Amino acid sequence: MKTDKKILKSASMVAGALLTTTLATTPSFGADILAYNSLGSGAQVRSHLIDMNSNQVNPMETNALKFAELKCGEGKCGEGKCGEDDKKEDAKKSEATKAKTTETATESKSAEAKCGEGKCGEGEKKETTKKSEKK
Amino acid sequence: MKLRKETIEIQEQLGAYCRTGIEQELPGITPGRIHHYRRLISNVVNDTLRTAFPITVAALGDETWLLLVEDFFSAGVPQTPQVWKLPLEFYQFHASRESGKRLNLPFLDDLLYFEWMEIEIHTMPDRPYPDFVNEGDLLKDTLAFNPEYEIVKLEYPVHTHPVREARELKGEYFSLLYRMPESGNVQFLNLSALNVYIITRLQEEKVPLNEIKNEIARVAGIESGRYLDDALTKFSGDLLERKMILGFKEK
Repeated sequence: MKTDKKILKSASMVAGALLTTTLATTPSFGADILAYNSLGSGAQVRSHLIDMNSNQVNPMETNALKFAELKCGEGKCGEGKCGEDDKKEDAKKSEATKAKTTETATESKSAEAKCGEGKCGEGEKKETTKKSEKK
Repeated sequence: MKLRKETIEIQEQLGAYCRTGIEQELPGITPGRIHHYRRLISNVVNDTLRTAFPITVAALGDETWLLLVEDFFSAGVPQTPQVWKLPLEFYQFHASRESGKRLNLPFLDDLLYFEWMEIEIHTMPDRPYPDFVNEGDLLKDTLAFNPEYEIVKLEYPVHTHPVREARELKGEYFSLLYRMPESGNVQFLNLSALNVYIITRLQEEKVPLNEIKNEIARVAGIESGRYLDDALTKFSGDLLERKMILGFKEK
């Protein structure tokens, strides 16, 4: 299936790209040939890309942003009723300390979880899910 | 409980109506009310998919987005009983029908897949962690990688550019997604082909960086010297800080 083709498992799959990209993108020995960039957490990537794509000629940009905020199904579990604000603050704190990744990126409104696990008690839910999967 | 054949048929007819909107007579349905079933189910599917693909929605606009949802809903016949997997079926449906090509949105597959992968990495079952120690030498010791990651190969840089620009930049791009050990948050890295080569070779060979250094130099077309040592130390040290590398394997 097409899905598998997009997941890279072996170094041989990158051989072609090495020929075409590595040398071309290595400007000189002075630059770091192994430089890469961190895009941040899921929420940061979403926020950034939605913002970039919404700046295009697109009449639905406001809707798109609204959807981003609801990405984890929070609308269904009752936004604000389950300690969401605290959760958001906690998430911000831990993101700030744990992820050095995006110093400049601002924390988006979009929640971290996108899988419908819900913002409220996401951590607990995830643990429960994992436990049940183990069984 | 086993359903009667007749009941199954009626359920399937109702399901078909909800997906396609083509009305048919069903026993037990009050006239003029059946459309509410379609409306409600359609809303659930649309909401689930919008929630999963907010970047795609932003990039395509509502009209094109609804076209994709409608096409999937009426012709896709979603199979999964798990709602969170519906976005994967949505992606697979449009990839198999080459919707991107048909709608002149060549980046569509990549964009849907990239968004799906966050869900996949976030929700996937735990993978066994290797035993590791925190102290070690980045070049001389075998590195213990965080096993909960995937490297995604994209044709269009939809992970770094707005689609309007990405569609003009067809090539080979790599994004590494991994799950943070404690929080479970998904992190994204934009890697070069050489970065990917090093990570995959280390995973394949399970040897210290020093042992594949010459190979890396050959592939990169540079001399294996102090410059490469410094670059490898910086690269692996950075991944260690980001918890993509957990530590060092015990000797």
